[in-house]
Amino acid sequence: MKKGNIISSVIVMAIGIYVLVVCAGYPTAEAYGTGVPGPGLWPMAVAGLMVIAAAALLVKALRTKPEDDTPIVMWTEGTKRVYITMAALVVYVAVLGFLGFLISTAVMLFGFIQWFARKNPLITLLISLVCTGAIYGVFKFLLNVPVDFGLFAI
Amino acid sequence: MLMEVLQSAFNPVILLYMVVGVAAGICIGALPGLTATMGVALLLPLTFGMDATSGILMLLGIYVGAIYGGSISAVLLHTPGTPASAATAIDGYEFSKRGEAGRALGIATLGSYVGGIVSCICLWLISPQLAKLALKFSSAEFFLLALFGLCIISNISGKDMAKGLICGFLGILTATIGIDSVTSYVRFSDNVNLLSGVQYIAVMIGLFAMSQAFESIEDIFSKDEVNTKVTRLLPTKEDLKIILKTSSITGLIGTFIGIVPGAGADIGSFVGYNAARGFSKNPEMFGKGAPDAVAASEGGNNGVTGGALIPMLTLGVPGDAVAAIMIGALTIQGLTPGPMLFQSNKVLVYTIFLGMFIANTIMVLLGFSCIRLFTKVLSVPKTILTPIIFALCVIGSYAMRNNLFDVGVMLFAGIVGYFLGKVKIPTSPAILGLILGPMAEKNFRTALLKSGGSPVVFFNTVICWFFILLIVFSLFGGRLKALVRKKN
Repeated sequence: MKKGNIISSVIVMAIGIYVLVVCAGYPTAEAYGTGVPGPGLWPMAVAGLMVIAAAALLVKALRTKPEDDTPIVMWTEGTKRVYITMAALVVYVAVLGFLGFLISTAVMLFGFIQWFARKNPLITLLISLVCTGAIYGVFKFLLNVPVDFGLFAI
Repeated sequence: MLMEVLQSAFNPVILLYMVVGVAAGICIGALPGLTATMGVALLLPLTFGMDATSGILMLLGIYVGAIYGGSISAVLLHTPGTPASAATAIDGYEFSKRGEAGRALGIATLGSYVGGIVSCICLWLISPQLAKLALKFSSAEFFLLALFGLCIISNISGKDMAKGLICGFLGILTATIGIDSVTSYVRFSDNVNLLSGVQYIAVMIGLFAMSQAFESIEDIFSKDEVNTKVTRLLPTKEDLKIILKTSSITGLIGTFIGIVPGAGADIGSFVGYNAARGFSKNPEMFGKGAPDAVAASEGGNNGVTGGALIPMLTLGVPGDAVAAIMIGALTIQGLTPGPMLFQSNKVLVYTIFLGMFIANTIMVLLGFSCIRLFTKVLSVPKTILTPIIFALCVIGSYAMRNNLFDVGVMLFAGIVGYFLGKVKIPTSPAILGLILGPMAEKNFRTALLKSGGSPVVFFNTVICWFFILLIVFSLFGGRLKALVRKKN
């Protein structure tokens, strides 16, 4: 956890400092002449407090004794599966607009179900098609959501 | 108005939506890994095409059902279906080991109902009065109220206050992206999809549904099997007495916990459990399968459901994460939760009140009649369910604005949520930040605009001072207590 806390506090501090720097360039209250604080004041105040909270977390993490530390497991069979899933979903979302909901979702479901459940591919195909069709049908026809986007949209 | 409310709440279509909502909620709650928040976030898009009453009542049904549904796996598998049933699992599973799973489920069902009804009564009694008071609020009071809600983050962050605060601040900062409502200045990004801000429903689906689906992938091949038979559900006279006494008290406790912004059903359940141990005749039986323990936990968590709606409806401040999603649902319908809702949409508000009673009644009826059917849900394989959740997350986040950009936002939030979970940073404060951040900022600046820039406006009224005291107490109350204890 110590390493995780250090990394997360550094990332949060970096975000906070970025916000402070960007907001410093925003117009101030004087620019509006109404007594209303400018658009940068609120995010700056929040970012400042966030940097302080991150610094507190960093100090606490650095003070953690090795015997009190509980390591975070980031590289196991399970987490590897999660990372592959995340990458596959990023690809799925990226091609969603191009291939359309029906094709990309059917392929996504087939891939994941076959990987996780290891069923007969024909059964997996049937499950994927039925689920995709059901979701598409509910949203397109019952809820009138225009799901028909992409090149091969129906 | 009474006739309109009755007609609206007992409309057969709306009743059907509620039955579907409660049944879906029980199934979602029963499945370990799927929480009430996840269920409401996932199924929220289904309400986009409905009118406000149908949509909100269906979501309420899901909420009430899911909080109760968590007790099914808690009793049968020793795995709480939702965090709200973690306390139920302690004693509930002891019943299963003794072959009395049916008895425990019966107590949980009736305990949930009693807790839910107590919270409904409180909702009915407190909300209109609070809304009347809130009508007197100006921007300064609303700013201090939002600030108080944000300060609560420090109290609900558990052991690591810094982590909860960091997540809350990240939520507030995310809400500042886009056009500033006061000066129309574009902040942080001029991307056309972000000009009206980050869609917080997409963020919620990501944080609460997608990230949990990622977590469930880690042990996707594990199987939950029910080895106990469920028999004799209806509570005996002795159990009935215990349930009525314990669940009504813990339901009341749960209601007040629900009113506190950010404190959810999991806290309500544990506080109720501990309180019941305090006044029980047999406290030594807690942890060994005591009927009052199960009744206390379930009364406490279902008590939160009505309590969470009180600040949501009257002040626009979410009592818990599910109430936050409901604020989104109301906003999508063009309604703004807050005191004005009681003026402009009285029928809807009172239909929601009555809807809570009906949802709880449907829950108890379904619970006693179909519990064996709901236990079958536990055998749905995660290997198929998880990919379907992915697809639902995608279409749910898309359906809000018919915008694929929001799908990307949802996926990003899901990935971030997964890693935040790894370093034990709670994600609920982000939602408080996302909702209360803009409310605090807008009212802060409007108050200063009205006062010509004078900060005295924040100290002008008794209500302002009341909130200032609450803020000071929420920030330093714990430390003061500790200091007093140390001195003693």
